[in-house]
Amino acid sequence: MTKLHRPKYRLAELLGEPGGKTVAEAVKAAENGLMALSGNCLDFVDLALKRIDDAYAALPAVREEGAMTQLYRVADELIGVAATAGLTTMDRAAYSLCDLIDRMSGVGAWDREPIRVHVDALHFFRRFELAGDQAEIREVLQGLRRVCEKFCADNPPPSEQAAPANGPSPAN
Amino acid sequence: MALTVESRSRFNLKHASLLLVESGNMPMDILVQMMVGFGAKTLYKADRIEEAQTIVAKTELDLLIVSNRLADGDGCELVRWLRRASTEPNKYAPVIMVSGHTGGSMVAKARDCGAHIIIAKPLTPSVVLERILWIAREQRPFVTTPTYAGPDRRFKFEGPPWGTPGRRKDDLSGHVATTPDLPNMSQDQIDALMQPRKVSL
Repeated sequence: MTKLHRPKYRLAELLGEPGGKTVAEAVKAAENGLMALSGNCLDFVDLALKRIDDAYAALPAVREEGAMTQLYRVADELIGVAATAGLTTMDRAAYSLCDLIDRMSGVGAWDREPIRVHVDALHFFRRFELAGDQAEIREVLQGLRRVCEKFCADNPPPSEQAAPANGPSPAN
Repeated sequence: MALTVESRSRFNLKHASLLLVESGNMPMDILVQMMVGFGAKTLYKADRIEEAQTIVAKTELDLLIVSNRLADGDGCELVRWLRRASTEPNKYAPVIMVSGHTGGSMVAKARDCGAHIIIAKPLTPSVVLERILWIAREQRPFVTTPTYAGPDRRFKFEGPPWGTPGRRKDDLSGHVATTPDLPNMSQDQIDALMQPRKVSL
């Protein structure tokens, strides 16, 4: 039985109260607050990178879900914090690493090499993004994209693997 | 959701009570800085589901911002509990889910647990503020079924899910009469009829 209810949102009433801020003032104040955090965010990023290195070093030669999950979690923690520290490309690289591990889990595949490329790229962005050559940074990011595309092409999802191109093969 | 950072419209978060549920000091500090910048004064913080539940039980909240990954579980669990087990008015409180890596399954999970909206990190003040104002303005009705409790997920006015007859008494049949003498209306024209709004010029 579906019940539809129209609750009263107090938030809407409060937002309309006199006083407050204009959108522009509020966004500016929030941006200033975030800027003040950037130093702490960089410290957090450095710690997270260390944990990523540790998680990568702990990856066994054969596929192990627990070790992959650990690496995924640490990379996921970087997303958002790296961008606040001004490392937006690094943020995207961390997202790409999570995507890759997620894809590996989804298709049951395992390959250390694309993970290593991502970990190296994270270090590269940490070292050079804030003062680096933007063209080179873009190139590294494109390289990561190609690594992911290649992995996805080599490891299609099970539904695509199961679908034969020319229909079912004739029974013998 | 057209909102620009140059917008001169005012809003007031001073008397709103917000609960921020996020794991890790830094991600929490980012949320806090943002909300303080928006003018919020009453912020409750939790990094665990149980801690958040205790706050929900004791405090009337106007907005929750919940991370999908918490120290002791999944933020969706907290939202599901909020919608099912907590008491009014908090069970209807707006919830924004924030998420780092956001796969398609994560978006579906957040939608189905009863969150109003999901925002992918990195969070920017303009996007977060835009979503808060949008949620307050839209005032989506709440739906309670045996399998779902939360804001109406059909906020795009697209009718019942494709291929199903619909589960609500006001769901219309998929059969549409033909009007050979009249041109068909575009989807935008139909949407405009279904959801008339005041326009500020």
